[in-house]
Amino acid sequence: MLNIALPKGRLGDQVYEMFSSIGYECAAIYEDNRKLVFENPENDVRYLLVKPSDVAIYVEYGAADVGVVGKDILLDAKPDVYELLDLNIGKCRLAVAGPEDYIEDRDQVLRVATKFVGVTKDYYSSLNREIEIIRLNGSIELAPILGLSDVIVDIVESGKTLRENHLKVISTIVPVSARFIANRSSYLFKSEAIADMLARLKEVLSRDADHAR
Amino acid sequence: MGQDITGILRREEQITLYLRGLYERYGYRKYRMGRFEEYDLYLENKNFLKSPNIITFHDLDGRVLALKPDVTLSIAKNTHATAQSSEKFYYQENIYRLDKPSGGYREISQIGLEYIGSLGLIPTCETLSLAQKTLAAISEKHRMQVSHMGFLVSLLDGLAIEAATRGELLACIRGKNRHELRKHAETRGITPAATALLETATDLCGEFRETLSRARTIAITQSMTDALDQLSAVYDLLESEGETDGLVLDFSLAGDIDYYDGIVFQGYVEGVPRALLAGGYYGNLLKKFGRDLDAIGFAVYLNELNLLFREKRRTDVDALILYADGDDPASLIRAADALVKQGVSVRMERTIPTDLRYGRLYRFRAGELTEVTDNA
Repeated sequence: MLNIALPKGRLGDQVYEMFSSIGYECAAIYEDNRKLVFENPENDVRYLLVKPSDVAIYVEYGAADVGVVGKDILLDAKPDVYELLDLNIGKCRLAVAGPEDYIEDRDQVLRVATKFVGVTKDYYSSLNREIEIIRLNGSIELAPILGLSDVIVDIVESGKTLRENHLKVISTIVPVSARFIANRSSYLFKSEAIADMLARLKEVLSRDADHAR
Repeated sequence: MGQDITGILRREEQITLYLRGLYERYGYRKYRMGRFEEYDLYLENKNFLKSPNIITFHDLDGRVLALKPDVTLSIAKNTHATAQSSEKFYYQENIYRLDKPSGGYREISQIGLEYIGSLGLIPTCETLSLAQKTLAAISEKHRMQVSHMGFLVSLLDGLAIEAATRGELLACIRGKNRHELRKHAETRGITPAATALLETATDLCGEFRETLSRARTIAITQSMTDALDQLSAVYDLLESEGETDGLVLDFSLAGDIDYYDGIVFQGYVEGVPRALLAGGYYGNLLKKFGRDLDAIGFAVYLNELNLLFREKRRTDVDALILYADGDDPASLIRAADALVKQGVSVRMERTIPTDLRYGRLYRFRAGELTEVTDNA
């Protein structure tokens, strides 16, 4: 039985569609919205629906053998897992954003609001920029509006939320997409099942890439 | 006395004792060390430590001491081994390291062994075969990844990859992360031909001989070939000893470059999500201490065994005897002793303690024990 951790929400739905199209369907997933574990003994898979930021933890600690998680979370938490494939879905970017009229004052310590503390620290230390991190868990866009911070570091998809809050992207830190990850121990003990899943995922990705051409 | 007391030991304690016996039988002597070590040792060799965080304190004479974050450094510093006279030690010690998820220090119990002297095929195979026996003692379902640091380092040398880029490329290889490796290589202006070789390195894992022959296709330097020849010789000997169960070759095992410099290995058992055994060659460390010697060793993280042997004890005591204040103490104790002599564990109480799981319940009445059944 292969335990697969999926992020709850839109990305998880997309990923499930992808897995289901290559032989890992589990009809029960559509039945009850409040259940968190879905199993299909016929194709030997069990899906765990968890908070997106927890997927990597489930995989690192072996509660799930494999999982799908955004690169943003991998960069931030740096879990000790194998990152086997870029699924090319859930594409967005981690970016620095600030008020539309923002001009950086290099003489000041930069106040940055974010939930991606790890990435933010790494990014600004690579620029040798002194910052103060204000850790928030949601509605990050509010911080510069209220003067809580100068800028924010957050996920940007279309930029619509930013525009509605009169913010703009100042710089892109890194492009983000969903990654297929595996636990190090599971990779050894369930090597065939994981290799098989990886091969099927690669196949579906190259087919999609051909279509796109 | 003379009774078999191993029954009361927990599984991890039994395994620890078994492993001590195993290492003794192969001529390893127990090495016992103090809990503290001069902080300077770690300061001068911080590249050999997994994490720079160490618990330090001032001794009364002003020296800065540290709670040991590592055992091998202390053994390497103090060894009397020479090229002609090797030393074999095993240890069971607690070390203190930063635990990332809990954000604090953690006491980690380790058992391990070290072979210091001039190494050849036999000490290498003996160490690997003891690592295999160690894993087998812990669980039937075990795997061990083996690699050679020289292979990857020499590949990077051969491709003239700059020092600054190496870290990120090795991180990709360690994560079997082909897609990011390609991106990094592109950003750093590495040629497509070189990138293709590096990408192949991320995939070099699996059955030993098959992986070995795939690795030969990207061996572009003599050191890479030497590393593969060494792995091949070791595997042949282990195979003749019947010690290749669960052994895989995996070049993504790149580990900490400064510490290990030859064959490296990591052991896993099913049910534990992380490696619980890690080891390899660490001759560079001895050379740093001015000794032209080689060394190989491994450590087992005994804490991880807790994850494996989580079975709950069903009872804390076989028999619980309830007595009243007026009962005759001498005959009560006689009755309890009679049970103990039969091999039953006994606890005497006036009332049933909360949180106590007992097998049988007795009441002491009129000088004798009466078992209380559910119906009574």
